[in-house]
Amino acid sequence: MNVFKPLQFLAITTCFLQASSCSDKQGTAAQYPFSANVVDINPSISPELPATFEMGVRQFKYLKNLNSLDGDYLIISKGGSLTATDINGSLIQADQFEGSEPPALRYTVNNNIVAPKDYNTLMMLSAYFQFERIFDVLKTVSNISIDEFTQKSGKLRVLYEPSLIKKQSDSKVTVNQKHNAAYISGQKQFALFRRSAIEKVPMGANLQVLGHEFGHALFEQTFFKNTFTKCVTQNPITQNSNPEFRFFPGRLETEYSIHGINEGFADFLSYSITGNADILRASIDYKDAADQRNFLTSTFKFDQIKNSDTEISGECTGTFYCIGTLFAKSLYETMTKTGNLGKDVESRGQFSSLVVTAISSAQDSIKKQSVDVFPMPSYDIAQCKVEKYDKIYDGKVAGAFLAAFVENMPQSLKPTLCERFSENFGLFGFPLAARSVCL
Amino acid sequence: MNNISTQNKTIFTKKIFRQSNLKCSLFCVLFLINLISSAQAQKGKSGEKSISFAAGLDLGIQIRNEYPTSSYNKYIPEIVTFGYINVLSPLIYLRPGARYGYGGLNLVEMPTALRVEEVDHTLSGEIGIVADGFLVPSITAGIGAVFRTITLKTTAPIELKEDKISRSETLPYFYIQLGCGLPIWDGILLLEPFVRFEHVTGDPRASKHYGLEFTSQIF
Repeated sequence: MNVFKPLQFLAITTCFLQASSCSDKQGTAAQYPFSANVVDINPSISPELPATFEMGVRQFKYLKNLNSLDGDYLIISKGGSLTATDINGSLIQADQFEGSEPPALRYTVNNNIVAPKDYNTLMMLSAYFQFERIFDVLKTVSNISIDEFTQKSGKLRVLYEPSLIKKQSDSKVTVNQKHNAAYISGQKQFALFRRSAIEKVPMGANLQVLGHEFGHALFEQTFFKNTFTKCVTQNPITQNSNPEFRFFPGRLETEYSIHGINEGFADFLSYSITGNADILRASIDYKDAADQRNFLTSTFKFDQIKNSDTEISGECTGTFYCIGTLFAKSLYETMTKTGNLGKDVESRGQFSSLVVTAISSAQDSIKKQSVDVFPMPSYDIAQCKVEKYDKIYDGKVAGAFLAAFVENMPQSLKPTLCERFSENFGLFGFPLAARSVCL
Repeated sequence: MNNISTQNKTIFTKKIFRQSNLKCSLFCVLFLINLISSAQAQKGKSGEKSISFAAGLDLGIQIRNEYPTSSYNKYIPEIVTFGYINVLSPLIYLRPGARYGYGGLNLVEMPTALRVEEVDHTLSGEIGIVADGFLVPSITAGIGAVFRTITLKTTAPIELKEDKISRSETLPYFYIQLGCGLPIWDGILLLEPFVRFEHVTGDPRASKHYGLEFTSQIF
């Protein structure tokens, strides 16, 4: 009998603990519209000053189901495995995604305010709120409302901390992707990779970073006409004389310079949303990466872009991102030089909406260009590879895009745009043949 | 002047720290005394059963499913006390025990400007069955509570304007543990590797716990 006293003790304690757990507020239903304690960016005082953030209570507008993080335009899922065929910076081409699960949020509710109980819950709620902020201003900065956008794209999905597997010709390699956010081309999905101690403000909660990633989604819907075509390997020798060969499926999606322009457009959209051009510094501030990405302070030109990691002051080592920074810098300079100082989201939106409209028609314009402006594909591109930056070839492709872009911008802005592109891209990145559009 | 003030503050902080440690130690000692006295009373009543006591430390790693697609190892040292009550046959013992664990040595990787830090103090009681021999296999079931402190920490450029996150909570905790001890010095010392299957109500991240227990017979 005495032997079983400890068992009695265990049973009584179990009952007590279960009873005490019932009094915990965990799981108390929150009411729509939901409010939560999340990370949010402060309105930018000046584009030059670093962005500041705060932890505060915010109300969600489009979130309909809290526990599944599902709403009108966006759903967040957790985990899963993403199989990528190509990774270019924050752009991922993936052909398979499987194994995700519902967010499994852990929180308490007090006065209808959701208080996260762990880091994952805080991050997923914060990311959701930041995307809502983008949806709120999308019409202002692009002249495309979130309803129009999602009519074409379908509901957007955010993958929270998935694992990334890089598919190679005969094997699969798990990539330990950390401290990054990405847009998955063609899938209308965003990925927030695993957090890291290298980050300051988590990238998944930084509106500057998410605004940039949304820029890729917008570039896909406008420039690539809502379809991201996978590159199909060509035989450049047999097709060499046919000018139509320049437009083989997936060529533009593969070009190094177009990757760069895509990054630059994404940076400019992020600036239009937040008013801050220092996109990276709040989250990642190491080496020269943040300086080189800040299109307000960067000083390098197209012919100073390096293909290696040599760290020489004034030059850019950020591969195709450097082309993007030059593009965003030219747009910003054109905006301010034509009298729009971009003081608020409305004024910045006036200019960025014109940019979005011009980009929407740019591909059609490229297809009308002569071989002098838009060149035949390089051997590597015809093989769907971007092995190395080639100043002359990639400069011609960048120039072709810039010419097509200028062609579709309002007449009043063309002289300034041409001047800025000429200054920043020089004769390599904006060749004379492409500048004919400026005459 | 400033130096003296800082020194005083440091002494005061240390005092508080010592006091909280003292409370914890006192609790453990009282618990141990209670366990011993009740067992001795039991021994007195039956007059037949052989009862002995052991205490020690264990170093454990909790496999915590913190990331959606992978886990991290949380180091949890524990203080453990056991009573051994001989039952059924000379080789079978009932082993009631108590544990205190500290889960705050290593925290999960997070960005520097925003951290949600969770520090756990775990108290549990358990009952196990142990077979004595060249090796000492054991199976144990336990319950207890995780006393968790959640602290939201921010640094520039994030300003902490409203903090609804920082709090303390108590979570019920259940486990089954399998171990296999290696007696040393005629069984005075016992080295016991174990695996523990844990369930923390309201927190599905905890799953398995591996560790190595090192206990010494007291009397």
